[in-house]
Amino acid sequence: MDEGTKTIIDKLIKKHKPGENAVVSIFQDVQEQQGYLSEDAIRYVSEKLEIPVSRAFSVATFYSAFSLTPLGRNRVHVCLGTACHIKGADNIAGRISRQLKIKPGETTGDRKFSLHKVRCLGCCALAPVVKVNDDTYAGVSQDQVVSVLEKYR
Amino acid sequence: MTMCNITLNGKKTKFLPGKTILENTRDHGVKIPVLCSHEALKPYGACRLCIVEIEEQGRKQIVTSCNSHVRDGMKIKTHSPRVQKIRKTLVELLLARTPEAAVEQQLARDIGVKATPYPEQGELCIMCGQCVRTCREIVGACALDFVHKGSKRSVAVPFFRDSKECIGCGSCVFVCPTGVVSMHDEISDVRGEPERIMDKWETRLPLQKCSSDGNVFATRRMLEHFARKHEVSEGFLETCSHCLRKGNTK
Ligand code: SF4
Ligand code: FES
Ligand code: FES
Repeated sequence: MDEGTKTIIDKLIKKHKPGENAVVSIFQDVQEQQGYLSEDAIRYVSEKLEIPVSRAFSVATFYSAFSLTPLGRNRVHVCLGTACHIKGADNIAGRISRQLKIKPGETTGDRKFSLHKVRCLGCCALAPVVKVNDDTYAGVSQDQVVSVLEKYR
Repeated sequence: MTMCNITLNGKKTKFLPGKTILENTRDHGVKIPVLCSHEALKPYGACRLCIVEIEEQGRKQIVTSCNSHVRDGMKIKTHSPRVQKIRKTLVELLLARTPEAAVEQQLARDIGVKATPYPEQGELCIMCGQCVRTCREIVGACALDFVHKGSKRSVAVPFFRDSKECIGCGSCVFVCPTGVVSMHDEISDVRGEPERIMDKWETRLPLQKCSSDGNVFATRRMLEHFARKHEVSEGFLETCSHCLRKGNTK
């Protein structure tokens, strides 16, 4: 594993109370800083926290917030919750898929974008909703979504 | 030890307080179906087949007998209509998940379920966790755990293949009630050496030849693991038990 990752994890581990419970918080930080949980990172965290790798891997695969493969620099979330679904979220998701040439759950070859489906972002009055990183786009149309994504290229 | 006064299926009897309901009923010759409990493992409570109806101070409830303890005055019914109705649904659900598994088919026959009304999934793993718990609690290798969640949940070694933790002891193969965990020994194409392949865990492990008669008898990692655990010299484990017994060591 590269020293950079090691230093990052060492710092994160110091920040948290030791023990099995720390694994989720540490993974959250690693996910945020590195964009994914690499095999090396998972093994290193388990070694440092003295928990079996199988336990750490179980946690890493349980939460949808964690990804085992590198995510794109921009994370596009299309809401497919009930309200957004009624407002045509499927078409929006399809349009984004065609635009970026990836299916939900995938990352573009240039690692600029990854696409994710979510079930309700908690702002149904704004349906259909698309979220790019921390920016929320309300009532988007298929055409708007294309220009929105262009901003992040 | 003071015994608990229990009414078991209408008959007054005495139970040992330190044991679970399941263990006590077994001692009394009453058979309760189980899938996830194993006498060598800690209670787990996943399959729910071992449910019984208990009554205390007029309050009735359904509990899993494998992880419930007895209390004085308890009335226990192991096969009441309510219990049997729920158990039947459980068997139908399990049968839908693993229609091919012999244990499920036997359970279905025992309880009188001919076919499952639910869509069949054709899986072989019932998620009883016996392999996971045996590997953790008995072997101490901790190579297995559940991964993912919901309908995608399954049992796996970390990263799904080439486990560095699995020692190839085969305890998971032995304990799995459905037979979905398997292993076989073969001569490696690459190295020409004998290897053990844990099929479901996609892990290959070199086998050790006996220093005396030359037959393979265990994986090398197994021997290392037990040498560490039981503080015997590794060399001691280079000879198979057969030759050791005969005194044929080198
Ligand atoms: S693989 Fe076998 S022992 Fe392991 S959880 Fe599945 S059914 Fe149980
Ligand atoms: S359904 Fe999309 S925000 Fe609630
Ligand atoms: S045997 Fe009790 S829940 Fe499985």
